[in-house]
Amino acid sequence: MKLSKALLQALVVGASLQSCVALVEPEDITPDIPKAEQEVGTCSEHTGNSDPGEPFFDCPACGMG
Amino acid sequence: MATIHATLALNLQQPLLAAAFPLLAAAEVDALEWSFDTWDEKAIPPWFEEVLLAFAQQRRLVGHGVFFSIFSARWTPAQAQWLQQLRRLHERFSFDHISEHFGFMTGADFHKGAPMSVPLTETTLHIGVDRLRRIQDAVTCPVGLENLAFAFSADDVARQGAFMERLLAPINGFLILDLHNLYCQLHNFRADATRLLASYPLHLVREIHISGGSWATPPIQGGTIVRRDTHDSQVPDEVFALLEMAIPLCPNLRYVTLEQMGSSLNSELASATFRTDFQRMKALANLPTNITSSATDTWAAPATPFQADPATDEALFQQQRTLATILETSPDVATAKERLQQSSLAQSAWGIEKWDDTMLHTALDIAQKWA
Repeated sequence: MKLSKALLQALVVGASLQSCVALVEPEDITPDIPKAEQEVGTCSEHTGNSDPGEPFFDCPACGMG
Repeated sequence: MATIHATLALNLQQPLLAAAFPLLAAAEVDALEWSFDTWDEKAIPPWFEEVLLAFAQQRRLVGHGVFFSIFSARWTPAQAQWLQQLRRLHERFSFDHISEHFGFMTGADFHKGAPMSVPLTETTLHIGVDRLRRIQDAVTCPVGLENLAFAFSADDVARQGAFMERLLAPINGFLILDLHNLYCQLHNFRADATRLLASYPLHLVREIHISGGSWATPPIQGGTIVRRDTHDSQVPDEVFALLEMAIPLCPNLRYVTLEQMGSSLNSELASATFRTDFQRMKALANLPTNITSSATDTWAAPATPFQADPATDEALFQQQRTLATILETSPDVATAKERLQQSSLAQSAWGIEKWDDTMLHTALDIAQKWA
């Protein structure tokens, strides 16, 4: 599904994906974006599910993780 | 056959977003799956919400729950809160469908523990149907369940498919067929792929999951290497072969989803492999098949509402707590077996006498990891 350039740009800024832009080089996505506030957090910040600093989706749900 | 959407399990992890970005930018991702209960709904960054809404507006966003614990035999305030959150999020994102997992969470705390299998009895069926009806009441879309990777015995493996069909029937529910979970069972119980696939209600499959995993060697004399569904590596060729085998057998399939943990996407090579896996999955999903099915979604909401009082079973709940405690606190398999034999689970529908030592060790590992 095609996403708008504005949305891709927002994703780059929001998730601090500047280094990824070089992989795709879409025309209007600017690689030199000032680092956005780090909104991508960790599990413990938003879910209380894990130790501080642990990435969240170390997910137990499959039952064999 | 209706269009099968090549779907990415996308969650708020920077390495996962970074690995997925080139696929999103190239419009290769047809749909998203989001584990909606893994994040504080009030803390979803606006840019991530916009991405979810873009897919939702095309009816290409599906929700995948982790923590509801459908077989917990006591109804908890946390489950009621989970349903309220689901109701709000469904209003916000209009999920095309919602799914949860087979099993009960071992943790005493709602957000802790790992899912374990349950005895496949009329009691657990009654509780499971009650919980699924409650989920169905919270949303206006199909509700489904994913097959569990873990099993204590070959009996568990052989019977899960038929039991899931009985669970899903009252809500016109669907099955998520997780092929890596199936691969774990094929390896761990030396089962036959064709026979195990056929034991599931494949006409109910609306979504297929694929992922990678890892090998573990439990210190059990005579034990075998165990395949675990850790979502931390590339998809094995055997799982792609299962995907190729399963797609033509699932006439109502809508989504094929790649899952991988962001923490495992820690190098350029791992990220590139992840994207290659997605493209390989998409190519298989797009292959023409001879199967015929309605091109439209035939799902209809069930007519039967749930009872006002949640189904509960105190004896089963106490057994679940006993099992969870034993798994979380036993230092080794011998101790766990001794404690199980002295518990109310002995000579019961749990069938502990048939449990495989290797899998019991795996259960200790998993429960203690997530306790």
